[in-house]
Amino acid sequence: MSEKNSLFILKDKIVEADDIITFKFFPVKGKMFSFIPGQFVNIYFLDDRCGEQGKPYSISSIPSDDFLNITVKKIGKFSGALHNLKIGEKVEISSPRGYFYPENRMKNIVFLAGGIGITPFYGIIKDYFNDKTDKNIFLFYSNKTKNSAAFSDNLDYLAENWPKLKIVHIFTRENEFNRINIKMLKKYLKNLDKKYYFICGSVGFVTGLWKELKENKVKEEYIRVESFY
Amino acid sequence: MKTIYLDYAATTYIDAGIFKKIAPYLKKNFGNPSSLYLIGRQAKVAVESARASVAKILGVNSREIIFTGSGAESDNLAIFGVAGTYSNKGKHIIVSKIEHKAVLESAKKLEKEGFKITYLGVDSKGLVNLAELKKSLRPDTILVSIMYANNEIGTIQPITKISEIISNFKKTKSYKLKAKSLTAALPLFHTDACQAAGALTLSVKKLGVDLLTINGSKIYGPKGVGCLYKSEDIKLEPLIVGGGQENNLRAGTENVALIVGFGEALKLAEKLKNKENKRLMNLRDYLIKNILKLIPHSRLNGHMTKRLPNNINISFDGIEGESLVLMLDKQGVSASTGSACTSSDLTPSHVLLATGLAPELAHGSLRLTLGRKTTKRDLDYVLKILPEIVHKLRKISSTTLR
Amino acid sequence: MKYKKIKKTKGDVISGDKYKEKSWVYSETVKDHFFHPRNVLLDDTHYEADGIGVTGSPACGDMMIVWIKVDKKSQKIKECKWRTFGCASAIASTSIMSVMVTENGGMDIKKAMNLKPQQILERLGGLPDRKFHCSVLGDAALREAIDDYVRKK
Repeated sequence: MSEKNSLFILKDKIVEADDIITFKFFPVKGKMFSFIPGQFVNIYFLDDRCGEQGKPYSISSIPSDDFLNITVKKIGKFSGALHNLKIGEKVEISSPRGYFYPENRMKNIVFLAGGIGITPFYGIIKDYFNDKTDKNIFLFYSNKTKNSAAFSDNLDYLAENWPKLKIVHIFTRENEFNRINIKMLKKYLKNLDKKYYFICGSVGFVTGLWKELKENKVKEEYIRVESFY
Repeated sequence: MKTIYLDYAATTYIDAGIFKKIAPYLKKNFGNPSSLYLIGRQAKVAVESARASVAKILGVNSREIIFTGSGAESDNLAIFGVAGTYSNKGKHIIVSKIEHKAVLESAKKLEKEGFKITYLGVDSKGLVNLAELKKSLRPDTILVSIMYANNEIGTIQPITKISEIISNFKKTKSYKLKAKSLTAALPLFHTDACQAAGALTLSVKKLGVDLLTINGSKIYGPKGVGCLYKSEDIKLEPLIVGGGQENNLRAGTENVALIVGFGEALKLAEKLKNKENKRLMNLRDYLIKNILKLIPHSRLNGHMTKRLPNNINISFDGIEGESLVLMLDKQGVSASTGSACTSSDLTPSHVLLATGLAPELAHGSLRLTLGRKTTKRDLDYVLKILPEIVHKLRKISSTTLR
Repeated sequence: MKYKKIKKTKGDVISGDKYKEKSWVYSETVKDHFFHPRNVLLDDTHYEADGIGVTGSPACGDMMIVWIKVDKKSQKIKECKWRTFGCASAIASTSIMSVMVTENGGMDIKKAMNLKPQQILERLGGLPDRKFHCSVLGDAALREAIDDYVRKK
């Protein structure tokens, strides 16, 4: 396993939504490493404030950036400690890892994002936009309320100006369809076939949708998952 | 299959004799001690009698014993009670890094509310750093809380010595403040003695403490009851307010049955103490010696001699504790581990980590604690199956590659 | 149909009749794979793997190593061996994962690359919520092994 950690310095903190902050890190030495949007890195504090263990976070920036962004929702001790990081503080970041990204052959892609599960998709979508991809992307983005939806303004702007991207927002506390479900997917996608589904969010969110898709005859090979736990 | 229970530090069975004494209070003697009529008065007598009995063992006044619902509640009452009452005199509290979570979490909560907490380090055997304690005492320190004997590694703290350090500090503080009394009142000294009860002296005078926690579930009494000794000279802000029970320090209709059980359990524990200590120490040392001999790459956690008579805590290289516990369980042996897998926040034992133990060894730790029903035969059975289990787990472990 | 929200309890999956003595803290399948793990690599000194994957660390409390042998023609996983430092969930997860990728003639490596922790969990009959990461680690170790094989090719 390539466990090469490098030192990064925090240059900016951007509040995206309730309890959600994007951290902009620059490498202390050398250039930003390359990665595939959709991958994650392990973040380590330099001291033992959360023990010695690091935690994985999806990269929300794109390879052409000279910085690395992670977008963190404050849920527990580790994410809380991240939220308390001050500008100028340093952390260790691992090399990128994971396989949660569409392959070239996949033309019709459906992203199912539960809350902070949007992070890998945000990077992927931005990168596809820059590359002028020929893929068709349908994003179903579920949040409690509009205030808790990170990146929604940017995503909506992209969708309005780029026909390849379609977005359906689901606000579980406000909408008639208060969950992403097969009925909703069928309504917007017309049929479930020949599409590649990427599901990212909490374990419950991912497992639930994975089961539903399979119960509706979507094959395992058309489904990719990444669970945040 | 016979089951061999070796987790007495987690909880004990209720002694049969004590159970008999409790039973009437769950049946016909159901009175509320605050009531004026006969069965109420009888209930009151039962509670006060238990209180007197506990007070006698601690060498204090009955008024100084408060019955609570658990050791955790007593710890909370001590810490939040002192913080609430004395915060105008100072907001600094000292605890050790190896305190029970009830103490640590209370301290952390106060920290969020603006109190300053010093977490004293311990050495590799779990003994509190006394030099650090001396340095940490300051004019605004209002409480020091250090547990008497640790539940995980059994290390016994020098409570009397710690009390002297605090006392000397208070004397110099008074002198500096040119106070009227010879010694200042603060900081107060609390100790969690839940594991020490039944094995070590509980004489408050000898220990030199202002507050002391005991609970029933570790001394062959019932669960759901504990007590806090609180010196008459100090005030505490109560956690639970209402009907004024326990001298306005802990509201709620007294659980007479459990209190009676607690009183009887402590009495019995004191009576059996010396004999049991001797018996258990022999068994403990026998088990430790043989485990370390039979199983390579194993190490004892905690102090060799300043250790509870019934505590064994050993780390095994290359394997993980939950697996060990479940394998032992399959063969009838009940034990516990400091591994992360068994904690709610997925971090390994804070006590083991505080002694400087590497996390993987904390994950691979096994705690065996002996009790009144433990026999040498039980331990020989453990010595027979444990090496095989460790060997089997090491064979499938990824950290023991050839 | 709504998706089921997994409750935020410590959620121990208790198998068997809760009220009889036989109930256990995990499902029967987990119990089986924990006490009788399949495909453990007892001696790695002479094993010629086509791909090796490692995840976790002892400091974390879970560490797995997975060795795979791949049939060159069919690109199916012929053998999947492993070693695990970890709890019963971790051991059972890697054990059942090794069975899933080698049964019925072996799984195609592309399909195996897309093996999900959810599939491992389903096969195990469930794990307590806080043990989810054990299935993730087993899954990740397999992917590393396949990735290693593909890179070496």
